[in-house]
Amino acid sequence: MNAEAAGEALLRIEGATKRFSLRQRGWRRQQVVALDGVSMTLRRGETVGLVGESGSGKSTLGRCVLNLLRLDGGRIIYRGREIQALPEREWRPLRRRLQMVFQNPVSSFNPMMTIEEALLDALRQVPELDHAQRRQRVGDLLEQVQLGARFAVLYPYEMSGGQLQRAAIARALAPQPDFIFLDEPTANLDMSIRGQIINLLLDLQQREGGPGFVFVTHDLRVLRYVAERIYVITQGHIVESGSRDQIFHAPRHPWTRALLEASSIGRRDRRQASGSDGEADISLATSPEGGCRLLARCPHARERCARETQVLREIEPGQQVRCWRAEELD
Amino acid sequence: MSLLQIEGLQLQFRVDRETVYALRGVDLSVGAGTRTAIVGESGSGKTALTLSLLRLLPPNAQVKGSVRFLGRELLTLDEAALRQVRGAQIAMIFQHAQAALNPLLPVGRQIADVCRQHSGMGRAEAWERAVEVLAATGIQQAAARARDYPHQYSGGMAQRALIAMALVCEPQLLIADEPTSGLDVAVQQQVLALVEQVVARLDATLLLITHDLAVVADTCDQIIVMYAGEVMETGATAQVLERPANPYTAALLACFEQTDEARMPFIPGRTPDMRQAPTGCSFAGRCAMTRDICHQQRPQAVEVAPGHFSACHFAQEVADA
Repeated sequence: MNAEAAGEALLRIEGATKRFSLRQRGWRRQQVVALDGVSMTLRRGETVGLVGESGSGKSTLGRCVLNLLRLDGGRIIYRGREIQALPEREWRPLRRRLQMVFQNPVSSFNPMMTIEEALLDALRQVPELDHAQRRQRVGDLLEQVQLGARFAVLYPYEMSGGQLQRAAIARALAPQPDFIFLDEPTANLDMSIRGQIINLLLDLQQREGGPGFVFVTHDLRVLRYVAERIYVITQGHIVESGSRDQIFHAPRHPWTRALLEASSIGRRDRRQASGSDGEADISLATSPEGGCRLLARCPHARERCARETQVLREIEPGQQVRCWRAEELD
Repeated sequence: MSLLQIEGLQLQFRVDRETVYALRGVDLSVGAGTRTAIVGESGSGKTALTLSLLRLLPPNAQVKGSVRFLGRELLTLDEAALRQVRGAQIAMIFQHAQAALNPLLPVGRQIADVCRQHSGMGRAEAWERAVEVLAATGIQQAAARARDYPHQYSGGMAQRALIAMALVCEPQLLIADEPTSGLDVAVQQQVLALVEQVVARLDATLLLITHDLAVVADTCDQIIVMYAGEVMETGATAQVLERPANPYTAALLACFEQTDEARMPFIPGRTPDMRQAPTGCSFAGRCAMTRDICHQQRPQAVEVAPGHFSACHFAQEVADA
């Protein structure tokens, strides 16, 4: 297989579908479609942003990629090889290649371990290093995330949220992965220190042979800096994707525009942009088949939107949108 | 007239033979009918401030100073009288709605309890009122949802339920502590719109605690910027956001600005250790303008424009910059 050919995707997700069933009142079982035919690609060393509100399926996608959940349909191809639902024995050597950083840095560290112990623990996945080399590597990693060796002896409670999140990134980098899934890594941090994490990622991107990142967030503000390409996801499906410039300067889907409006400062009129007064959560994921799923939340909806399922189509080179009115809405 | 007048408010916690200085001399007034935001990073004392207004503090806390609500001193009020103020005159919407609700009781029951406590309503009447306020906050099928337990609510709905609980007694002052944290942008806006709507309908005063300046710009007419247990800057929102007179406010604002720069702005360093009361300006360690005086002398609030105060030795310079 020549998966490593130039430009070939490191990771390709094809039509990922995941359903959860939940028990409603009474005996009726209800299904929630968390992912509905999601496709995306990640090239080597690339940073891709995945933006969507809670319940849109973005974390589910990450969990499926890391084999923490099993897809109901679709494929996940890593370096040309299907890795969906691999048995543990075959998955284990891959685990170090695919890492994750969680939203809450405090709860993702063992409170009984120092930072050094936590990093050494992660380095157990790298059998080729001996103990001295591992300790050396801990120092290097802390340096890389701009913490310095003095943090090695600290326990998580002794560190601020921003420092701990940097340690979490160091831990993800430890086994030299090809890919890191960042699940809202800045959501629990103050706006005043989110820049530390973002700028750190920018530095890591510069490094030769560094990993690719999928950066998941509901806050577009941070993606402006780090993401090369952005996918906008809501209710389990991608509604728009494109390069950073396309998404920020020429967004085509009404939902993308609403998200952009919502994250800018001092816009009185932005309320209208977000649409309905009702609860905007997973309940909408089970809305009737056969129309645009954002119907109820879209200020531009027409009669046709209720009838016709929207498909993702290319509107500009590299930009895809799931809305038939995209051209008109300029 | 100011509805709430705070003078020289100090709050300390005794922790393991050490003292944590949570609030270090806060002076501020909140006018009736205003919508005031308290902003600042985590640990700046925003929540500590509101908790000390209602004296919802743990036993290791010591409060000094004065908090007057409608001319009445709250800090020395006896517990029975204070209980009449809490919930009825000053209501609070707590952070993390799910955690603020009792997991063992249906949501409607919790709201009805507040009614019964303050208005002497009977059980049935209070339940009806609970359903009514739940419906008023936009919860669909409120009569059925009132019987649900908090875990059956989504984050946005739980926040709505807390708002319902706060408005049930038609308070004069509504304190909302980060009502949108943990919610995504779409739901955030619905919750904020609801808070604004409720405040307008009750003709109440709003004290909104947040770290998100984008929220402030939209919602509030007055702004109080806090840092390390002190008030750094106060004034009309437009004034403060457009011409900040404190380097801290300016640095915070820069973090929210949408620029096309390659790197994201942030404030270097971290908030000071609150176990020691800093001698000079509490922001001196992270400020780009720091000079000798900043480490030696604590800045007093100066009025850089009518109604616009800043606690910085160089307030005027910053404002004119």
